[in-house]
Amino acid sequence: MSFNKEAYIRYIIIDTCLTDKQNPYPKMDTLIEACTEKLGKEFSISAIQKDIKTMKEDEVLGFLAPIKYSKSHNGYYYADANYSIRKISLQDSEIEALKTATEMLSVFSGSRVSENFSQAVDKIFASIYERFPEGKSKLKIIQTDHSIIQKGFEHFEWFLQAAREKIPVCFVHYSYRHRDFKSIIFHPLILKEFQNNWYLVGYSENHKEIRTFGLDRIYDPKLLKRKFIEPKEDVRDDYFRHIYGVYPLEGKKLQRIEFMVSPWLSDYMNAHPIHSSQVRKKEMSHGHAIFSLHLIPSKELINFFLSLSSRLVVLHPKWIQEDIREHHQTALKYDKYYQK
Amino acid sequence: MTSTTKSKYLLNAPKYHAGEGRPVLLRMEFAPTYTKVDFGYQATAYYRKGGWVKISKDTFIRIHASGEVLRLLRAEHIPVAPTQHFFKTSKDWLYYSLYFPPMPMKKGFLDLVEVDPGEDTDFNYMDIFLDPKKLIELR
Repeated sequence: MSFNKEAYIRYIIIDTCLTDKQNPYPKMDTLIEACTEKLGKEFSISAIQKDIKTMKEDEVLGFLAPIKYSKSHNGYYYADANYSIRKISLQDSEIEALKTATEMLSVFSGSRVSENFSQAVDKIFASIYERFPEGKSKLKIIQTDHSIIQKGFEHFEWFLQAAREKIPVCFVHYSYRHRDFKSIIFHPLILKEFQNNWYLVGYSENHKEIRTFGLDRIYDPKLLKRKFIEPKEDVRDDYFRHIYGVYPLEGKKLQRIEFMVSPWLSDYMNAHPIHSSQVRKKEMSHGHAIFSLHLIPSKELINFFLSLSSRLVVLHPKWIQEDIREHHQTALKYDKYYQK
Repeated sequence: MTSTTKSKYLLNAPKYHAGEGRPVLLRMEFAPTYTKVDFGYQATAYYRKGGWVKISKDTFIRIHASGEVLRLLRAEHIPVAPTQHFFKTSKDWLYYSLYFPPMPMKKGFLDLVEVDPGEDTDFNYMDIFLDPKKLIELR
């Protein structure tokens, strides 16, 4: 069953008016005023009349509310004084949907989100299990990729608040690559999860551009009383939408990337596109296929190509081909060195 | 502006002079009840397994203009000598903080001194420039 969310809110408002013992027999004007006040926009008499009709007669909605009009009181009332749409029990299909939603929520509890969120999920579980105790004994039937708690994850909720309320922050960052520390003034925009790790994306005053920092490398963040810098929408868009992974390669612009894959990988790539821009350009008779992407090259994209290099060849651009070749040569050197 | 106000202020990445390979003085926090200095240290291949670090209990901040000396109150994530923190490898790192009494946030230079006069291996930071215009208020 699906229905308009705003309409559902209006039904709740009308129900509240009809069950208000202090002000019985609400008039049409009262119902319109209540809806206008709560939803912040005007409603016509016919709109509210239609709502009342739906509440009374719509079998799919399932309220079948006993709403009557009293001529003597010049207002509406429930023929059954104990009736309220909020007392209506859930339909079987809704109960099943709720159970599935609860199971899905469990995926996002624990190490993947903040402690407060987990507590909220636990409360929902407790309520659901109280009502449907058979669910508790069931084997978990939804399983997702679950990592152990990431270092620095204790700051997740803290950064979430900073991003939501647009508060600049200062944190100390340790770079695994450069092996150095920097104190960064940062304007957090989003928290992003990629392959079970969380990253903070925002505008860095130090770098004068949008940057990504792994939560595991962040120390001692502090909230600042300072004007929030919001990058231009198109700049944000480029950074957020046109990327596979989290770390765009420095100086690289949005571009076309083409690669050829083995027959086996071709099926896999068809089933699991790595980016919304992925297009299958050509399929050869022996099963090999050429795919293209339109994105800003990232470290993770190169790693993806490297991880599949026995079944994938980059055709364009040339600099990615050369980069991958260099990685292979280094790997061979390492192999020779450690096999001695 | 002085540290007697209720607000806390941050001085990010101040300029200073220190010996090569010393921990990086990352930022300073000025609060009504303390002054906190944050450092980051990358162990080096110069020492086997990265060596070790410690901080002297006699470490102090010296304000050039007044000559006032603020003694170390406590250290966080770094042991106070003679205890040492031993690294396991030369690629290890350490983020640590030192706490001192509150200080006036007046324009001028400071020294943060572990040993006076110090040697190359001591954690001495000279001529740290405190510019009140660069201070950022904390929430």
